[in-house]
Amino acid sequence: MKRHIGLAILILIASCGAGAIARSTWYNKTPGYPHMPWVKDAVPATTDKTPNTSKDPQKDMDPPASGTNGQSHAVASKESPAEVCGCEKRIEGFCVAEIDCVLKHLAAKDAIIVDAREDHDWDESRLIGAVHLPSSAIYENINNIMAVVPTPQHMIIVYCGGGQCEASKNVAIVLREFEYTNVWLYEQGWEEIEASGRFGDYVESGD
Amino acid sequence: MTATSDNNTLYRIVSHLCALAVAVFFLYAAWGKLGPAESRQFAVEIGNYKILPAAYTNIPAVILPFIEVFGALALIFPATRKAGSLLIGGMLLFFIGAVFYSAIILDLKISCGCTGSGSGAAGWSVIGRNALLFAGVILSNLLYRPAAARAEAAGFEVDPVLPGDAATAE
Repeated sequence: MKRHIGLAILILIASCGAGAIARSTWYNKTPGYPHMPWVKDAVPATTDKTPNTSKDPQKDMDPPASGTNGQSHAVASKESPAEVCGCEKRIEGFCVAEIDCVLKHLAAKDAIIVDAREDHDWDESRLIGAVHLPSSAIYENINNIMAVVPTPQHMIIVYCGGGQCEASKNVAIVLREFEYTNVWLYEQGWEEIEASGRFGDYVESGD
Repeated sequence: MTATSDNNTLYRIVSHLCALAVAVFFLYAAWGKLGPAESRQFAVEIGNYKILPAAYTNIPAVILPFIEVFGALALIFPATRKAGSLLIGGMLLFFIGAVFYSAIILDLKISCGCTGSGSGAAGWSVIGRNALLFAGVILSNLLYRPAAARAEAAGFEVDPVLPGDAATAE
């Protein structure tokens, strides 16, 4: 029996060695992927230096894509998404967006909305213009985000099914790995979108 | 060929088939977790279980697929089957415990992550499948174990026609 246990330990050591080699060569040398540390920073220090921390998190944001004139959001007083979205609550270092904030940005079309739910939920219904980045295949679909986010500072709002939704947190953490610095979580997610009835025109159904 | 030697052959074939089935599953599972994108995704899946602190999920995400590969290969070959069984069996028990804790006790709605991305939700079905695989590991050892060792362990005299003692029987 000792011989078998010894062999099993040897296999374990070989696996660790193979893993270490794969990580330092294949995984970390593949272009397009962020560095893969053995131990991650739970909340990178850079998070607190992002525009998210300011009283007015939108001030460093890109201009709205659909702005009708040069003054639009900067002077829009009550209607400004910047004033509606206060970063009062944080989860894992990410600002939490409330329903009004999401609605304002949907109307202004000045933020990228990311749907972190799985395929079957996405196929059923989603927010118009949202980018699909399911939590179970984030890295496979990260190019969907890269293709539409103009700058790393652009506002990204991630939503999922609602409740204790890990999906949106997972997606937001990966986006931070890819150095997107203005990622917000819409924690209430789809539960609130459906229950509130306020998203009528912004919801589309089916494939 | 006698009835006993037929049994010996049957036991050995079943033993090899069990080992092969478990090994193929583990090789397939490892395949979905090897690669720059896959390993990072696997780290996310491990984090979902809330067993390890989020900072430490990369370590098992990188190493576990290789343990699966080497363990599965060891399981296929009779000479290393016991060592492979220790690894694969140990992992299966750990996976059963992890799924039970996270999906059943904590009631987390998480993806299993067993075979990489899109491997379905963690829950009773995963526990059942892992239990079946564990039974396969046990069977592959029990049926392959030489008859003499089995009889001796049970305190009997060695019977030369016990199943598995093919060399003596033939």
